Amino acid sequence: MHFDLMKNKQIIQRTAAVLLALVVWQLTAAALDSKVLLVSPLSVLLRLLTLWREPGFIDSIRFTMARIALGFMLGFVCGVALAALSGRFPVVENLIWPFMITIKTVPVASFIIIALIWLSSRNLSVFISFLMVVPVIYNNVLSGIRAGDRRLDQMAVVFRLPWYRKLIYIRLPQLRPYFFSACSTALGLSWKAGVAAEIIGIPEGSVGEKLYMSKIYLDTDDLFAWTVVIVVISFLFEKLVVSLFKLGYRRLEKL
Amino acid sequence: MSDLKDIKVKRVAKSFGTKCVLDGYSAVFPAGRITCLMGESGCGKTTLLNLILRLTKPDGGEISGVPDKLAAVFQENRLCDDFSALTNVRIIGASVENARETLIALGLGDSLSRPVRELSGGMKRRVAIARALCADCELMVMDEPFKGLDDVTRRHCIDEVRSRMGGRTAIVVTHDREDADMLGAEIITMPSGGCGGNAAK
Repeated sequence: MHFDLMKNKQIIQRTAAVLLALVVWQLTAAALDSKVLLVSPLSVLLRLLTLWREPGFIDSIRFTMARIALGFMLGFVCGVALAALSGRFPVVENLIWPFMITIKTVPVASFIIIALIWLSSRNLSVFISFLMVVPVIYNNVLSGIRAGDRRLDQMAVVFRLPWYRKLIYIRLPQLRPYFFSACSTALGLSWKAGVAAEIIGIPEGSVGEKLYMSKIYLDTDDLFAWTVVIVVISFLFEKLVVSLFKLGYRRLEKL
Repeated sequence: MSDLKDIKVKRVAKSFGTKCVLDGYSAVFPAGRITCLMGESGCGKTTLLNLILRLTKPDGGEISGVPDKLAAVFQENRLCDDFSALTNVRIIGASVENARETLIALGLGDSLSRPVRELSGGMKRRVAIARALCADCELMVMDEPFKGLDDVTRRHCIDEVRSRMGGRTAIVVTHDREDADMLGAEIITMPSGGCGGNAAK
């Protein structure tokens, strides 16, 4: 009961905060009175209503989403595999340390420009998303492995549990909060970096290309509308992935 | 189970840092029998069990006769909290029928499908006991298995443990002589811990 009240209060406060931000935005746009400098939220909404009906809208989203999703999945698998290896063999952690530090510290724009030399612009966002996701997943999963309950590991040793049972019943439940935290952060990063890669690489038919064109033609309506589309899709994608994880864990608990 | 050997602990020593827990301790746990290990808190009972379970290595001395197939009821239950009582018993390779029947026998018939995290302390303890009883093992090590159970449940669980031993060797740590009597167990009393305290008994 108390929790529900707190939650309702939080929802009301957050909704009010969003409305306040929209009002401030609308007033600022009205004060500046320049569509190039700052477009009003109402104009963005009107543009969105026409944008989704334009030819190529869905194709652009499909193009970008498929590549970012692929980059995320590859990064997830690679991050988990490297974390598992580092947890098992500390030498692996030391071996890949320079790579992880490099990915974390080098600006993403530098990677994008370097990768443009190696890859076609069409596949650039796959690589950049992958690159951004790997260290986030790796660090979180490795922390989860390190924080694992050693007493359960001992139980597994005493009862001679095979590796797959240890994975299903001990390791995966322990990693649950680390997976969720890692996915939430990595998904946001993969969208930001993936779209940034498309803006620099300008692959034909991508969301990044649309944003780039909006900038070239100073079409601020379009720029904001596409940004809203990216935010919404990124949010939905994150919800989808987290829901799939939750579903997977629910299935696991019923085993 | 015919080639079970006595478990012989010979002059075993174990320290943790500067704290000496076992100092040349010796004992024999007869094959196919239940032996209760008693002694005051801190005398090294759990350390000895961990040595027998090969979870830690002795600093000196040797332990012989420990079979490969082991089962344990740990001092802390060490259950997989997200999974049901039934799954926790099945984890070790027990059949559904065996796991179900053992849990029901221990009074957990209504809680087979409930996640362990939702069970009370006493119920969790019984899940841990059921898991050990269902294990394909030759040696069962139980560290205060009946701790936290009410009198009626405790007696019932002791009966079940005794009747389900099936010729396996068991080492049970307890502080209660009545538990040992009900289990029909031999009793080994460990002297106080610390260097010089439990040498070569």
